[in-house]
Amino acid sequence: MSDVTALLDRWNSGDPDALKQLIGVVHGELRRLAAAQLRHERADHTLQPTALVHEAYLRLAGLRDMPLTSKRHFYGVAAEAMRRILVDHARQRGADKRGGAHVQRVPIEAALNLPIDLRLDFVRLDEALGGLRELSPEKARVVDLRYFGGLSIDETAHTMDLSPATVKRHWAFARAWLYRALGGE
Amino acid sequence: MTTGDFARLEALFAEAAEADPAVRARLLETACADRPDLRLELDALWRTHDRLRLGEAAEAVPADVPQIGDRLGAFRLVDRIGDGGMGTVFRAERDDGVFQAVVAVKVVRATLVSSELRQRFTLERQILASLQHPSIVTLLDGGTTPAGHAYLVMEFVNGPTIDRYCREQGLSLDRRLRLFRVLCDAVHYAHQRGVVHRDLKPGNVIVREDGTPKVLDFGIARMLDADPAQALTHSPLAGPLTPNYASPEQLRGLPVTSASDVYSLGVMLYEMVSDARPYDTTNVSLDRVMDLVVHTEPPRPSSASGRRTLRGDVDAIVMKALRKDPAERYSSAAELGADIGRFLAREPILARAPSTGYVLRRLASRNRSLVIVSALALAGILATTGVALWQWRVARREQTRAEAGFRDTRRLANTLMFKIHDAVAPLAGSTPVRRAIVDEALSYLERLEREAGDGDETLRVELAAAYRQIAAILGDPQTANLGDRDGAVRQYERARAILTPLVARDDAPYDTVREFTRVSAPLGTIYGLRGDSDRARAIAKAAVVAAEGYRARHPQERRALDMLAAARFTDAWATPANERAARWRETLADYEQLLALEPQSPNAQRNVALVEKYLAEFLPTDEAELHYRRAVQLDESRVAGAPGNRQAQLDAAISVAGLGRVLEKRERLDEALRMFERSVAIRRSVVDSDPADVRARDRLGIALSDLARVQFARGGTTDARQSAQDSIRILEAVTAVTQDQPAQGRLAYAYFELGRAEQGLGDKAAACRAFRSASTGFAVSTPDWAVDERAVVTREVAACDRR
Repeated sequence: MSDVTALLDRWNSGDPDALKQLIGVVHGELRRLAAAQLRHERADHTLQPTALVHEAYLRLAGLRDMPLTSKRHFYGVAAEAMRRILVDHARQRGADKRGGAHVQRVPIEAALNLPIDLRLDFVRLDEALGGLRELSPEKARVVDLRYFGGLSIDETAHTMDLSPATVKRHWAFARAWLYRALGGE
Repeated sequence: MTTGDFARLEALFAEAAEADPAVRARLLETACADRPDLRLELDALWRTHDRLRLGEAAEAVPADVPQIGDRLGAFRLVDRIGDGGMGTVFRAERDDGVFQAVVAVKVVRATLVSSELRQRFTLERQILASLQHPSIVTLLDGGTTPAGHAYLVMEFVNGPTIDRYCREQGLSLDRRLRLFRVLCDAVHYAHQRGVVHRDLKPGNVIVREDGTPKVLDFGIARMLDADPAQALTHSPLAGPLTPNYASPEQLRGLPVTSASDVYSLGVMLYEMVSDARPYDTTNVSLDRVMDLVVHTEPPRPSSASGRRTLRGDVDAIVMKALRKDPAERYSSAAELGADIGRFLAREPILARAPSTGYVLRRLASRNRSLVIVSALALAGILATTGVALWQWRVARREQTRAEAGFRDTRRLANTLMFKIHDAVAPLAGSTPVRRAIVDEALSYLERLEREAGDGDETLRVELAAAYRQIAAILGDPQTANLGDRDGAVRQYERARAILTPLVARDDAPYDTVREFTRVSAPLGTIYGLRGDSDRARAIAKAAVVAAEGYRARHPQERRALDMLAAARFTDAWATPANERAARWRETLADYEQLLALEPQSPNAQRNVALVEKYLAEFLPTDEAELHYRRAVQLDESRVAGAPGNRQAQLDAAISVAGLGRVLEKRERLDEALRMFERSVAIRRSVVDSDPADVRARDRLGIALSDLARVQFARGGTTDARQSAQDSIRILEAVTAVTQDQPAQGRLAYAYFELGRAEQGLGDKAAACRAFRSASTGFAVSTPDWAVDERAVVTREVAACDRR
């Protein structure tokens, strides 16, 4: 499965088509991995993005050690793909329930915690995140990586080339902000 | 909201996000006086932030955590005895005046926010309290502090952890296993009651003074995890687990069952018997640990520790507990304990039922492209296994020599090892599989060796050959191998031990002697590489003596001469340098005889050319020139005969360069230049035919440095600069890949040539740069032939510094 490594290499050397293909491959793999969990929506309504993303990484990139930049790109792409999968899933389910009955509200404590609570309204979360992205792309990115990509503070810092303290600060703010935007106190 | 407002909000938020209310109030007053809307928003954000933080597993212990002197229920905390990932453990005393008792109180670090979680905690506590086993620490009581911290009151156990206990008491293997068995019983007892430990590790098993092991923290991991509304998990791979002991399914976030505890027991057993860890996870990132645990097979305890007593049964037991697939592990902790019991009673164990199927299944699951390879091989092999075992039994029942069975099993071992091994070897990451194949084959052979006893000679020679082939896979000095030199030496020695009494006889047949020389060559080489030259020589000499004996008995056989020449060749390498020239002359004589018998044989040509080169190194230049010319002629004729043959090309390049160096020494620079140009040209075509061959590129780099030197000597300074630059470019790429220190030295030499050329062309700055690079490289490694050049470099760098 050297496609991914090759695509990352091509992207690193400035080939924009490689990114499109890469997103396609990663997205496909993650969707496949997530499908089983989403289909039967586990009893506890959770999804472990960490496990999924790591597994996708292992499947696509194999055991080879990728260069650091490639690894960063990979996790970035994977986080993005995870978000889209969850939003699509929420939309799909909304549509299934005749006329898009609203997704069940979850206790606010459970939102934006890992593992991801699948009862969350991802469509609204995505909108709120879009709003945050306009004001501060960096903070939105932290949410992508940390929440949808399942990366730890340190891993996120590594991927974004920021200090862990900065990531922590962004995360604290972004989270409180998103709760407010989602109607939580 | 405008970007400016947002930035202001964000800055204020960060300023007092972790501060107390008074600080925040002050900030709201002062900084937001002009903007009531921002003030409201900021206040709300902080409050949300506080709530969210409460929900996290507290990374820092809140201030209101219980302290020494506090009372919890009927107990007073008297001493802090430990801090764990999950909380703090205190020694506590019951002091209600009724009776005195010492207990341990574990205060869980996180607060229990939701009432749901609190209920769950209470429920789990009741289950745990029902576990009454002499080797499980009893849970006495529990509750929640006013601040919301959960705490557990447990039986107080004093003693070292089980790993320390084993070491400090210097327990024998049998006693360690007995101790471990008790542990299995305790774990099984809990499993029967539906309680999985989930964090078994030596740190959670304490051995009391009377020798009773006590398992701590049963079920606590679960009590605090796996709850949908849980407020305690916030990080990837959440939940208290210890990567070293966590099962693959645990690391992958899959459901945890009693099989995970069996796995963790397996890791503990591994450590207890071998004092080594299955995976080296020191300074390794979490995703690397995942890779290791989920995808790689650890070495067997016997090879990790070098303890032969573990080989076989104990290895098998540990490895069965450590299988990646829970279904392939022992079905329960009790089963694991029972197999240990069988081992202690010297009865056959379950884990050693033929596991060929397991190896092959694993093989197939490893890599999809392998499935095809192995599916084909699989059918054949499984059939052969069956036949072999069947015939083996028949043979034994009939009390005949088990020749048929031996041959079949040997064929099986061969198929297993060589067909599959060779199919797998080129695949990245196949090492564990190769290792498994070798172990499997070895255990067959060992069984056979025991059974074969003093069987007839053919059988024993075959056995020796099989050990030799295994040794080659483990660590043949000449070819790609598993890098297990010690293992290789053991197997070569084994083969040699079988053969030594056989070749000592006057009528030793060809096959026996040939096998003896075949085993001796690599074994001697390994000893030589290790610096044990006495043993290397003794082994090579013994092989020569055996081959000479056979030749004396069969002077007409060409294969006798072949064998003798090969033995002498090895012996020459083992001989100290000052006597080696004589050895080479003898070897050369043998090979010349063989070439005379078959003048067109590429092999015979190669052997003569090779020895000519080795011999030439010991001779004065005029004589050396003649020997090199003969080598060049033979090698070039091989290249002409088979233009695509890489080996012939490589040989020719070496001969041509060798001749070039001799001519250079004789100061016939024009001729030398032609030779180096030719050597570079050959090497270029070798590199072009396989760009992935790093060694070939390394050699091309060296050839270019040689060329630069002669070009410079002839006054072709511009050419010399070009060659040196080419050499540097190639060697830089090589060292980046190999990280090989000697290669740094060769690179440094190329920089030296570049420096001289730049100097000659008058570019002082460029020369200084080159000399500095050379100096750095030489500091890493200086080839013994470049000591003078290094001195020049040092001088030049000093001169550069003065400017």
